[in-house]
Amino acid sequence: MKILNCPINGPRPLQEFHFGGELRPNPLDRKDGADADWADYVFNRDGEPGVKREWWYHIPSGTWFIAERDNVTDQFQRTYLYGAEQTDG
Amino acid sequence: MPYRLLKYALHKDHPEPRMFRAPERLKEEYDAVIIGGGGHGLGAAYYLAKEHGITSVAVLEKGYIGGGGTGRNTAIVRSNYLTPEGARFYQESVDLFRDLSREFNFNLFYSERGHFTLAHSPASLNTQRWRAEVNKHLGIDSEVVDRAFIKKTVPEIDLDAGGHQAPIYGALYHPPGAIARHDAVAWGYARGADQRGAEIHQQTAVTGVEVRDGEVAGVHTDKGFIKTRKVLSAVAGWTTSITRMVGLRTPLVIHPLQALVTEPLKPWLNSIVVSASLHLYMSQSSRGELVAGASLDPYELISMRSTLDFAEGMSAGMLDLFPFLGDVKILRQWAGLCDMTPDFSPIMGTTPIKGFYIDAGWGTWGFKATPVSGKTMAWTMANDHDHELIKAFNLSRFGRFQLVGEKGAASVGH
Amino acid sequence: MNVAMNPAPAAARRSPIHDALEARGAEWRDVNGTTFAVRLRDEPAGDDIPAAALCDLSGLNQLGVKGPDAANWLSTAGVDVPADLYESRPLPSGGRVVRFGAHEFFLEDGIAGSKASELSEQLGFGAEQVYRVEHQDATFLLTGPRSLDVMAQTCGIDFREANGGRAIFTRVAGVSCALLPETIADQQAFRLWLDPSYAPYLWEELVVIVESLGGHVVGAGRLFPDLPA
Ligand SMILES: Cc1cc2nc3c(=O)[nH]c(=O)nc-3n(C[C@H](O)[C@H](O)[C@H](O)COP(=O)(O)OP(=O)(O)OC[C@H]3O[C@@H](n4cnc5c(N)ncnc54)[C@H](O)[C@@H]3O)c2cc1C
Repeated sequence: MKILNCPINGPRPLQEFHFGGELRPNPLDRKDGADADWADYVFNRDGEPGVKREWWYHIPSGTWFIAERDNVTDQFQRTYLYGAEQTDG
Repeated sequence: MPYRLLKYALHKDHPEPRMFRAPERLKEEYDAVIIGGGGHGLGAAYYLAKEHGITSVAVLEKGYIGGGGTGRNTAIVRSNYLTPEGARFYQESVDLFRDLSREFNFNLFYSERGHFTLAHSPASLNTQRWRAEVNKHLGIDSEVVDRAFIKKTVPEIDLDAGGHQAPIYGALYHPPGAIARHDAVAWGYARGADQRGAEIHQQTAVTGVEVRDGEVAGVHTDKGFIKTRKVLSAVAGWTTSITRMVGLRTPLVIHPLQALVTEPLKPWLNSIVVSASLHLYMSQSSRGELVAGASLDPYELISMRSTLDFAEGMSAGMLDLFPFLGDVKILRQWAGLCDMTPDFSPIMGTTPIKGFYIDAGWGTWGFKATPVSGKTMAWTMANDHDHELIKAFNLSRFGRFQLVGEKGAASVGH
Repeated sequence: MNVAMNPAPAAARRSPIHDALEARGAEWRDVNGTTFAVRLRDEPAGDDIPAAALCDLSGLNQLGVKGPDAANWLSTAGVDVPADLYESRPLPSGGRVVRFGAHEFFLEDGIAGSKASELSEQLGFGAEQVYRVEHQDATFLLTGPRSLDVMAQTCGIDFREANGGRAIFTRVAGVSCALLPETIADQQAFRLWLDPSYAPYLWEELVVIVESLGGHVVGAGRLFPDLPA
């Protein structure tokens, strides 16, 4: 069984989680807002191999958090609440 | 034992010619280099030689040909898509598939079975009705059938899913739906390309693409550099590694998709049965094995590992529809990589980099497109201009917000 | 404002698995305005707790509150407020209060208690920064020596080491639940709170497992013999 460590609920089987996609900068922070930038935000993704920062959701408790995961080896490296990456996850 | 087989035991050397040559080393230069020895890459090499006379071509495959999605899919071929662009494109592929065994003089076991998409609710039946009407409008053979028709065609099915799942209300039925021997498709194209002069290099990985002043100048491989002005990336689930080499941004994300086969049984299932509610599609191969696949793995992963979750879920769904399979054993399970696009249509054709062509975004649906992709990509490379059938699939469509939405035609709502 | 935003829940609650219990010949009794199955037709005679006992308590009064002043409001009302996340404390007249978040609490009355329902009626009158969180959860209680085996078959958490009195949000047979390990009549017990729309499914699954382990579905009267008439 694959285990993911929820920052609030602790280690749980992966079946208790939902994958929320890569963590991306808020598009509203962009100053330009040209069509091409907006299209890039809406559609393009960093689907390349490597360690990714991703949104994950603990379904039973309703907890959204960030996980750093290698999308080739499937190893979770760190998990923390959004905005808390400075403190050790 | 037939004599043909006995020959193999008695001969010291392999008694039959190989399907294709294994060239000793890479040349310094080719007119075109194709990355990826799946059906799509080999198909492009075949049509480049056959229809455009371009034979100085190297297909570079990091593993063995057909070892990617081509040899891992559940081999379903159909054309009941929902957009005019999609329907036209996949219908052309079906038409090509029908003649391919003869063209290759090699049996692909292309077998038209009829394809059922089961509806487990009145709402889903309405959706299937809508799909049938859109299909008919686009000239695709497709209709809604009732429970009696399903039962008559697939007598073993439990229309009430054992009471564990919602009962079956009817289905979308697509008579030309077919299955084929998928690795034979790769071999057929490989042999045809090889006979016409293209080179197939297995165990040769592309490690970089040389771009100078916005134009392709060559490719780096683990066996050295090759000069070329035309490169086709036909690596499906590995596309994000190649686009990174040339700095192209795409919407692609990679998810594994898993499948399994059971031990062989006497032929009993002629049709292809798909249930979106049970996340399952299933057919019986010409070897007698039941071939079954599910929906995508739930998160991004560039790895072909398989999971117990899948085997469990898949078995549960199969038993809901066919309870008598309870004692049948699963023989093997595996996974492949799917390069998913947001609109469930491929990404094909020219790119902002001159001489760099892309054939990707094949997700869970690319096997059926093998012949038409090979043909249209070869045309596109020869003419440096998108073929009419694939214009709508150019990577630039996202920047123009002109998607080609085919999610509704995906088999199990991945 | 608060009054309009915090309507009190409708009076009579009926268990989401009422029909399943009715089919088992439930003997119903009204306690504090809700209806409980106190005894079922096929229950074993006597009042021992079987190897595994599954009991529906979905009639219990519940109250969810959240907001910056929620803890203070509860404490002023005489509730012993749990300090840590997921910690639970008994309510004055039976039942429990559980801390579901930094500023969120869930209260459920005991079978004879009334604190949660009293507070529910008070909420909204002059209480600033305390807001109702609507709860219509189903409540199942599982107990008996083999209840651990039932959990082992349905949930990814090893409850041999679970800390009694602390709530755990997890999935049971695929259904999201808040779960509270507790002790009833010296027996390990588990209280499950879940969305009522999943209750018939989860109930059916649990019944199959409980019965396969030699256990029974029981009425509330067996676990709470001093149930008011
Ligand atoms: C389980 C499963 C079931 C499926 N079922 C169906 C179905 O029923 N019907 C359908 O139409 N589609 C189906 N698909 C999708 C289909 O398999 C693919 O879309 C299709 O096979 C893609 O073919 P391809 O030739 O483009 O790529 P592939 O066959 O994946 O070939 C790509 C090749 O590129 C090679 N490569 C990668 N990187 C490099 C590099 N750097 N250098 C050199 N070579 C490289 C790989 O080794 C691989 O052999 C399914 C997929 C899976 C995984």
